[in-house]
Amino acid sequence: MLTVNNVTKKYKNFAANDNLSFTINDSEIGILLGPNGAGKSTIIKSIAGLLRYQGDIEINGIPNKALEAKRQLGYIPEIPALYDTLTVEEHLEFIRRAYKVEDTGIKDKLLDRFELSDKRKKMGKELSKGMQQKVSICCALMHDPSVVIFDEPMVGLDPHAIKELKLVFQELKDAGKTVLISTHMIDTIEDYWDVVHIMMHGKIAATRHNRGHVEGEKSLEDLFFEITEGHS
Amino acid sequence: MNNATAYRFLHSLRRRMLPMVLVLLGVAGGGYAVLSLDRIRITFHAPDTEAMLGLFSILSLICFDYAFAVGFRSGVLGYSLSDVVYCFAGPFGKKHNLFLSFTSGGASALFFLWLICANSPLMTMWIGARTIDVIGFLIGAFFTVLITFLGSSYLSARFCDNTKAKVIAVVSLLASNLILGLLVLKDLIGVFGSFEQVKQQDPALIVRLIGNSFYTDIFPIAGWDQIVYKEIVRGGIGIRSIIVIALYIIILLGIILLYIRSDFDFYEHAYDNASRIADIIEASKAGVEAVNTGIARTAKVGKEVYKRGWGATAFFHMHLFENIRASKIFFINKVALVYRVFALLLLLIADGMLEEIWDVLLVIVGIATMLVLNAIVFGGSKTVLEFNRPYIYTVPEKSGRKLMMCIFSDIPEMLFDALICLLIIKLVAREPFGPLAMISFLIMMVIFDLLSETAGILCAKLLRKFGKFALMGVRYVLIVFLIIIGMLPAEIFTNLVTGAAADNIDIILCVMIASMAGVYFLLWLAVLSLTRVVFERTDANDIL
Repeated sequence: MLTVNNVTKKYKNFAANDNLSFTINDSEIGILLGPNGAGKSTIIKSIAGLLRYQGDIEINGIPNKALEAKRQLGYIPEIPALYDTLTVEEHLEFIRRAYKVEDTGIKDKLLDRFELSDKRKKMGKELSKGMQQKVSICCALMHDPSVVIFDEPMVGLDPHAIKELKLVFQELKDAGKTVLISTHMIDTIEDYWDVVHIMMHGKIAATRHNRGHVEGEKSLEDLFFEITEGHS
Repeated sequence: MNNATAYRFLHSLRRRMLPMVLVLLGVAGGGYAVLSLDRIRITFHAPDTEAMLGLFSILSLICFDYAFAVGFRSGVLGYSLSDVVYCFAGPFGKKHNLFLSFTSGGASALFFLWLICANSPLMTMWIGARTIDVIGFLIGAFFTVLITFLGSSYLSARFCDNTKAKVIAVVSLLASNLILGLLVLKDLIGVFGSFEQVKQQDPALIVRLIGNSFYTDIFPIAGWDQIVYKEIVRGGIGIRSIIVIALYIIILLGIILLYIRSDFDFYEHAYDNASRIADIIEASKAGVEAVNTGIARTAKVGKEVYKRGWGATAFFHMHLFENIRASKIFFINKVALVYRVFALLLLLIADGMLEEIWDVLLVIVGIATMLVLNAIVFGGSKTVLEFNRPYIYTVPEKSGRKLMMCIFSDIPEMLFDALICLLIIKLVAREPFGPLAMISFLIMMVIFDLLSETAGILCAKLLRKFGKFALMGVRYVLIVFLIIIGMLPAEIFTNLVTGAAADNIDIILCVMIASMAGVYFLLWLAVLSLTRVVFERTDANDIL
């Protein structure tokens, strides 16, 4: 479970996140939806422990900066940040060793799943952005985290990888994990989500739970444009 | 089209006022150093015109090698990504684009001339070089740098697809240097009888013989440029000068003609290079010295296997593995090695200026020189790039341990570098630098390198948002300050033991260096603790 409680992140006088609170439960896929500059990446980075902030963030009830919380968190950054001279396989090996994960063959499974097996000997600097993103996802899943946060994960991926990633979201959910995805691409989230928080100017402007098609309820797309275009 | 390029160039200058001011101050400082030579009254050696002309020829050879390396390495391929987007894809001709990259590469090629200007007072103190002499040298050397840079840039663009041709060019350069060195050495041994005898001679005499040797004078381009000034000083321009001037004009016109008539496709390679340059620019924003950023370029996947480390130590083994992959001789920092050549040259000049009884002073000058150079090499180490990736933050290990493991992965480089520094100082200072002093020197250098690297990381964490010039400027001031702090207690301890061991210079030097090591170790622990706190309590880099 991921709990964000009254989180405010300021850059000088500008509040990138303004008193944000939300919870994503186990076996839930949460979406942070919003236009560029809404504060989605800032809260994702705060959850990952990269930024200072006011407020509380907990991973399964543990403060997110504690080592035990880091063990239970998987983070996929918006821009893949690989090591130039490590191969795909070595990236996963490094993460396995850094997170102290026993070698049970998960590395090969992830490489197969994301069609990286034939690229295992390619170095980070030789990969396209989409390939780097796949490696980044594999690294985040390597230690079997119970909470996984994705920052704009679809950017740069080919259609097959997007399809595979959506299956991964579903599998993580089925395995009882907590998944949080930030995105501005409304057409990519379809209906696999459980809860969507629409963000605008650092705040949550609306929250929608997935109850299937409800007569008379606005579509997610209509709600999104009503909020974002109404503010502009 | 040219107006658009001029607009972009001038606009980018306006946005870089601080670097521009620093560059102008640097140029003015170099100019002032040369113009004030005639007022210097301190001399360590009787003025020696022939030694001065010899030194000019040797410096000219170094300028030639440096300009060749700069031109061949980046030369006309030194485009930024915005050059690629706006000029290659825009309505600009190939020739316009070919000349565009000279602005960055050309400036780098001229850097060495500025370095000589800034250090020209040493030449005056040693062998009595006057302002007019240095200006005479600079005019000749400028044409050498110009021709060599244009020539090697052309070769690198012309043969960008042809590895064999590029290897032949580099091997030819190295072979010509080696052959010249061997021929000159043969002459010296012929004059003095043996290599041991050559080593015993006054450095000014050796410089005079090397620089004025027949072989140096006929060395292509670099050997010719000083012939004109040599003949002026020796009493009038002769036929050799006329031939040299004619040759220079012909070669320069030939190269310009080659460029004008060139019709080779260098865009793809320039584009490939632009990505690397973008990486270097990004690395420099993080605080990595440009000299340390070329290392990953040569890496190729071989038979090496990454299979060590657990938890925080995975960082240590991973970085060590990266270094091994980048080079089989991973413990050699190639850039530091180039700096050592420059340090050796400086120390040899200092050795020439000082009497033998001042060899102890040479040890101290040597240590100070090595410390300052290492502040550049290790202060701007590539370790700071770790902060551009999320893993140093997200891996569930204590931040101090992760940080230390990253820093420790550079220890093999530091050890080898300390060994090279030791050999250089021993070569120059000889007797006073005894075994005890040498051991303490090795330890002190490694500790100082750790301190420099940690201080560099601290500055990168705190000052990244203020821009790379502020970051690098503050970093050097901080490290120089740390060097001085380390030297103050050294003086006290040295004074304490001087009475008890006045006749054993090895012990005195050992105590002095060991006390420096002790202070640097304490400073390193303090800076490491501070960095750990800053690391935990500040935001990650905005690149993430």
